[in-house]
Amino acid sequence: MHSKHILSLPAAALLALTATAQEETEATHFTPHVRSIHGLESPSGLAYGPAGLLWIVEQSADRVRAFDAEGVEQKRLGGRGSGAGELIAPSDVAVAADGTVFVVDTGNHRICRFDASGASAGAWGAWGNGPGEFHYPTGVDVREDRVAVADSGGDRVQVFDVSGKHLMTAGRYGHGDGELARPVQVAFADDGGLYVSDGDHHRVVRFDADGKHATAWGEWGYFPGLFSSPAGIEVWGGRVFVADVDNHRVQVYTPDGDLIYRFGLHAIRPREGRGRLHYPVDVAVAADGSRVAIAEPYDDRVQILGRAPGEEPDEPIGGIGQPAPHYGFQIDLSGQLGVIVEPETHTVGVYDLRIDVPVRIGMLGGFGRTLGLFNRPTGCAIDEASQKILVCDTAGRRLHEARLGLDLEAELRQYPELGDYVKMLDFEALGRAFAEEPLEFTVRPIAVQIAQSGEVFVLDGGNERVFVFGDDLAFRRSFGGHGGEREQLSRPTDMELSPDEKQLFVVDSQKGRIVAFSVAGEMVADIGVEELQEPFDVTFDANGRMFVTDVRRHQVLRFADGKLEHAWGKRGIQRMHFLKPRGLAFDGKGRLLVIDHGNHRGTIMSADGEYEGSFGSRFYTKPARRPELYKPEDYVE
Amino acid sequence: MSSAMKPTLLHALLHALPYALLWGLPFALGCSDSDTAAPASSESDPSGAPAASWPPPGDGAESNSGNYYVTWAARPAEVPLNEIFEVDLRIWDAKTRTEIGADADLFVDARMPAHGHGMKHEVELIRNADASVTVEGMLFHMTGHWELYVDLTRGAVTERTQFDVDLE
Repeated sequence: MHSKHILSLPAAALLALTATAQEETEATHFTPHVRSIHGLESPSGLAYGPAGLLWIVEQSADRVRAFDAEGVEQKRLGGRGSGAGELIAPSDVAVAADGTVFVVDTGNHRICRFDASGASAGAWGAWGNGPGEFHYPTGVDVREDRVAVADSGGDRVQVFDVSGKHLMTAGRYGHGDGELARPVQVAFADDGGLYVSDGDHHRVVRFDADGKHATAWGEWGYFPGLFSSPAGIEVWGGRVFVADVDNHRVQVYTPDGDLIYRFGLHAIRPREGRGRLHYPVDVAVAADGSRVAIAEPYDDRVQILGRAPGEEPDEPIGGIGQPAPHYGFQIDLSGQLGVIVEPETHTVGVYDLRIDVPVRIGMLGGFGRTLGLFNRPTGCAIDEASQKILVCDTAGRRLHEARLGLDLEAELRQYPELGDYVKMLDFEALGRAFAEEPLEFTVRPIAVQIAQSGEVFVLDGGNERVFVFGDDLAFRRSFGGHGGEREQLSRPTDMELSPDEKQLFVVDSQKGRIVAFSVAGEMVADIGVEELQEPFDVTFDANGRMFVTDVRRHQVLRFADGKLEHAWGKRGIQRMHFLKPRGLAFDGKGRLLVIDHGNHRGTIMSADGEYEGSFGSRFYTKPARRPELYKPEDYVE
Repeated sequence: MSSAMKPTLLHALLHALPYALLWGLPFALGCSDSDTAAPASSESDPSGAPAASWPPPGDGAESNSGNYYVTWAARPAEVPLNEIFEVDLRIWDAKTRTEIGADADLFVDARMPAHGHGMKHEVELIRNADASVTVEGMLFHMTGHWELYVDLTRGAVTERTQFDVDLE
């Protein structure tokens, strides 16, 4: 987020600067690309600080670095850990007028404070839902003597003084006025109020200085003014800047939410940049308004734009970013059928696997809140025998069941009308039923498995538990839970039943391991503790060998009897390169299909790591199909 | 939070909960089918009355999980193109064969699945004294295949019954 160090100036200078900035804002607008800072590791948060330093959070490196106007590193904070001054998967940064740096230490559920020299100056917060506690916080801003924190998993914003004393809470989980669902970022308004990017509602909510709801704008969509997963938010010069992540743009509003203009176009070529944006997650404006910095974690880059002559256009510029069916995180295959989630279009693609590459024969879903419509689905499962599909409607907090009813012997064709929806489980209602032992947080279903017994396993990213249901979606039991003990989880991402269905393997992402539970819920073993850095998904071949994707290593790893046998791939775009690989599953022919998420493609490989093909509707075609034509420098500025 | 939920009274209740949500608390507490076949209802409330014949007369279908039976009738009988019409629904619990329309937690919608869109008009549900439900404000604005959805919610689970309408 931003800093308010101009407040340290004398009042007359402040007024002069503010007036100048206002005139500058109205006489020019952001567009031209000035420079990019490359080689970052998943930059997720930004703030301009005193002396014009640009502070950048590198989530995958567990650190924060400050760069000068020439893009040269000047300071460095953090390092992985939970001790003083250490960070785990930090998300955002804010810098106070005196140079104090506040970092959202997401994985440790706390706010870390560093003095102007970069030395650790304390921290506050821990996992929980009480005042001053957090659940994977993701955003921070500082203004004068107040610090606002977007407590994303807690579905609220908390405000503190600079020492960490809790002052007030704004918002709570819900869908009404002033209620939030996964708030991602927060920014102070000029009057002391708060702007919050309300991620799962695809809107911006404004609270007054007392934390009362004032207004809100936006809903899901790609037309100008609408949002698809808004994240970074910045207030500067009487303008509200919002990083509209899945629409690949930054939108600029008046304080009351009227769209003024937007900038950024979706990148077409890999790592394209130069003003084209690719999943921008945060935005920061320099104190003098001359620069805007935009963080793009998928491209490991921060782009800096300058101002162009001419008044801010009263008509939006640039194209309309229609949603494209980018592969999401998860894939599941069963016999001849497969499913891949596509969160940006709120759909699940259904695939026929009878030929060499998966053929998309239809889709389920679309955006909405009723049975059969989804809000950013992330998990899915399919059973060929029953042709049952289960979809984790993560932002909708629901589980949907559909049946396909296909004749698998019929000629390969597409189905414009595919499947019937059978039933839906509402986790908001289920959560309320836990009245005597209330769940700490709203349930966020992120992964699902269908057992041949009919049992359904749902991974709850909110409470980090596994819920087990019958075929009728009646609750049976739960196990897991967040914590530091060996049988407890920390940021689980996916799971898979063992081939004999006696064990459930849960990917324990933050602890870098795979945890095996019996299906009854007893912990059996943990695997890959030494080798895995940030695993995402796990699956098994017919021989019982375990395959894991690792987002930080950009690799697929194979384990046998709990020991690492091989690891394939490296960061890149050529064959058998990966960029943040996610879901993986074996097809009926013994081939491993891997969702190469950052490259918008799927890769097909043998169980021994031999490349067999690529697939996808949006993948970067030329390098995958004709690697001899690809030169990495073609895609680097 | 504990790693595995202990077998407490709470756990027992949680085991019973879904069944309570699905079939009503009496069933979950061990009452027989015959008990739940005649739930408490006032004489003036026809909801809960057993069906005189099974399946009930009319254009009907089981829900996609088989827990409900729904009949529907359009007014006018032939669904018009781009004109408001109404639908009368009658809803039964398929297990107890009792009518539940007056008490059902109901959502009605229609969509064109091949086009990925629904209606351009919001509907209103009117619960009638005879336990039927009238859906006002239906509008099919295009020719083609429409699906009418009747979604019933008990507790945390919503279940769909659907009807096909081919509009020429």
